[in-house]
Amino acid sequence: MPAPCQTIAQTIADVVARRPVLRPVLQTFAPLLEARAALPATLAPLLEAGGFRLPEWNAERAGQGAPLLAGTSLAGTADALKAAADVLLPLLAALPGMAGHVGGLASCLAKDAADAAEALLAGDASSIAARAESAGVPAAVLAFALEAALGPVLRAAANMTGVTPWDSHPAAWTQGICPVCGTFPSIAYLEGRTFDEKNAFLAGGGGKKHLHCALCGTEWHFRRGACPACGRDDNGVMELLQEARGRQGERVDWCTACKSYCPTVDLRERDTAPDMDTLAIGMMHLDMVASGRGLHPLKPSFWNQF
Amino acid sequence: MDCTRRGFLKMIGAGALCLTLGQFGFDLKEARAYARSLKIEGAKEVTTVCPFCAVCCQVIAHVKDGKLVSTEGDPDFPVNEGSLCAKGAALFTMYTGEHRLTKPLYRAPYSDKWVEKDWEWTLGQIARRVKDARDKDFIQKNEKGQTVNRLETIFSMGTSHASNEECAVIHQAMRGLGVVHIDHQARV
Repeated sequence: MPAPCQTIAQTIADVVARRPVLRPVLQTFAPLLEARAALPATLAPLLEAGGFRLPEWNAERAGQGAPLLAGTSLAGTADALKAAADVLLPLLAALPGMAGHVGGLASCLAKDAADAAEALLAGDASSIAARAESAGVPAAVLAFALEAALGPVLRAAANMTGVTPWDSHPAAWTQGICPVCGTFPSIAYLEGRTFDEKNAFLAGGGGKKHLHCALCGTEWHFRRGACPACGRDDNGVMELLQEARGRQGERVDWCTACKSYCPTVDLRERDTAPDMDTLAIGMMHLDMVASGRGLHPLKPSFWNQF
Repeated sequence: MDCTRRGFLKMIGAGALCLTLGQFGFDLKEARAYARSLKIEGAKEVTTVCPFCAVCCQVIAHVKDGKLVSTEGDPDFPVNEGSLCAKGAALFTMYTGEHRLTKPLYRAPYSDKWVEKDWEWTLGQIARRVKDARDKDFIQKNEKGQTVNRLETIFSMGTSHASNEECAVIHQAMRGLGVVHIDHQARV
């Protein structure tokens, strides 16, 4: 039976109880996390009205590692992006050091939110930089705001399809990037134990690794022994770093070949499943440990850059 | 939109496009001190095969500083999907159990004491007794006078700790002696 899920507030409370030193960061970003989690339900009608749907799953494309949104225009997402920005920009303004940028961000997103989102997804850093310059905001600030707004929109689009071949047939998607938007994961989890009444003599079970997309929150199965970044899956390629005691299943899985890492939580060692986006920030202490050992995160984010 | 893996990797390389907590005005001195105070341990995950039976469930072994520290079923292996039977689940104790014998022990007939012996003495004893049993009990012909060349007073019980090749050699050795009662732990 799957472990009961914690809310964002419960996850923060749990992390802060064990690591009070992270309280300021988690409490500051809690409103943004809450708003992003609530947005997809309200954005779905806007996506329908804009005529945006994720493309049909194509096994051959997927087999070659192309995520659903590869080659797809985001034009139909403009209204949803603006709606998301309307909710999120005031929260961004409340973040330390961001208030002065919100005007520029608002004008940029009102002008061509969909095009900017496409540039973000395509990894077109020069396009983002040019848009940021014309809006008078730092490129990193624009990328942060775009990610904040685009994530819930893509989550809403993924929820609308109801088709998740990467869940029903894990072999359908074997990449380390998200099958929907192609972003690397911010965190991974090992699923909790399962109990099969028909095979009650068997012990253990569970432990399958699922990656959690840093942008749209899609989760997909990935091989335990393989690196999501470089794809190597030789014996012993993946190593882990963890606290010697009281770790609650929290660890860092890192690749000895390419030195990339992904924070991972083993749900077999917990009674409840945390909110993954929140726990990714709450495991910042392990990001610091990894950074100190010369490792780099799969998905650079504001909490894992030192 | 040109959404490719290369594009994302390129984006990752563009570290300038990522904000930091420092830019949000956070002082991470305390958090860094906390991270430095942690006792961190590492381990390598190595996949291997459970040696106990012919199902060959796959196992993930956690190895730290060259030593085995834990084992678990491999959730990605289609046969066991992370599960293990009672024997497989206890695999770790096969290497660490305090009751595991690491040297030959010999208890003489009618004695109540176990005495440590070296391998040379032990293998010599085994060879001697096998030879004696074969010389004493070898059956060349049956009641009908047909040649059978068999030995019924030795029973061979195979172990799943032996490799396929070792099992083949043991089997041939037993057949060479005329042993007909042969079984394997994986079957029973």
